[in-house]
Amino acid sequence: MESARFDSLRQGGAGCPSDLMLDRLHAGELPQGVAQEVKSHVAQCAMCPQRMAARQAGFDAFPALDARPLLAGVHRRLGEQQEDTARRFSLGRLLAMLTPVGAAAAVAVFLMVGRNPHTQQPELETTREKGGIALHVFRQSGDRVAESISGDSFKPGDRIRFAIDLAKSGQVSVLGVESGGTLYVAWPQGQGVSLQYEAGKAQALPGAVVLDDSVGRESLYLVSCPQGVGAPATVCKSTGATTAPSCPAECEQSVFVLNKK
Amino acid sequence: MVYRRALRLLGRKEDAEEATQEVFVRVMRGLSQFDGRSSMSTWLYQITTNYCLNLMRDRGRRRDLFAQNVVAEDGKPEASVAELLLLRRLLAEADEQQAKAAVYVYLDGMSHEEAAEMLGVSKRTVGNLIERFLAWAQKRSTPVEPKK
Repeated sequence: MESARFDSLRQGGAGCPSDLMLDRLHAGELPQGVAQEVKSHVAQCAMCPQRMAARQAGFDAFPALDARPLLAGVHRRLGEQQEDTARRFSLGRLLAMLTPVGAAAAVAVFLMVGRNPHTQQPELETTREKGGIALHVFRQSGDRVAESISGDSFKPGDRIRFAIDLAKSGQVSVLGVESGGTLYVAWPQGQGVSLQYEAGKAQALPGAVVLDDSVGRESLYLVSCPQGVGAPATVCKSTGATTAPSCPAECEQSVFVLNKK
Repeated sequence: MVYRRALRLLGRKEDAEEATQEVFVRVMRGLSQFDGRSSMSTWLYQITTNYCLNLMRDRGRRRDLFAQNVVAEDGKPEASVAELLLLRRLLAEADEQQAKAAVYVYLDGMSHEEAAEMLGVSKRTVGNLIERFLAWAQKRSTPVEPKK
């Protein structure tokens, strides 16, 4: 075996920055001078622009990968193994940290919070009973997918996806109440989608929802009704802009608030 | 970053997904120990490398020798794919510290200085680790002469 045999395995040429260097550049972790040097190299290199583009594309650089089950799996494991920690630190913040953009800012937040045991932890997730019904909202923004927290600001055009926790099986829908009080179906948005879900955590609902142009406070209600009661969209009625829809007593609900600006 | 490296190290999409999930969970558990002396990316590289090397060792023990795992190397010449498969096989059996050095230098393309920072050793030690890894790899790939 020749001593230089594995040298061809590295991405980029012999004079190119390492993968770590490009990841740190993308994460904004490099000192200004070093970042400038690496950027200059990338601008002149035949191979590195493609390497950088792959970083910027995030999970989209892997067309065969569906990131949703992967992220849902993380959520599930955290729920199973570290319920308390998972509540204290939002998964969304973690994802923001693990996807390079914004990593430095996220680190700063974690260090500030993590170093002082007496620091009050902000409630980063919607409070819910252990094992109860819960609606998780994930926002896609460019190459990032981050879990949002109830009360977060959203923009018209934002793409969001849902994952749900259910304590028992039922027919589910996500119903929205606009600032004017109109009730609409946020999920599902097509025909032929199965509404029946079993008990379990972090179950991803298929399909993304694009937020419309209306602004103001909107509430999303995950509604789960036992089989035989009917689909939530047909049995629930609006009771106003700031109150939960009226559904049969057997149905369960969990609310998530969007501030659309 | 985590998924890409895991896929390169492990080769199989399913393993890379599993590794990504596990790294996320470990990061979550270890956040209180992250002291900020290294960058977050450096820390993620270390956790990912440790997890993947352990998995490769387990798999190596089961004699599952990666033959099927050539994904994510589009555009690479065939010789490189063969080298990657060989390197994975060797990493599964190599000395732990040598294996880490080989990952950082050969797969991640790090300079010895960068790899030294990752491993918490001197640049010279990285050179020694790589030298020993290659010498060991050379022996591993030399066919044994039959006894006369």
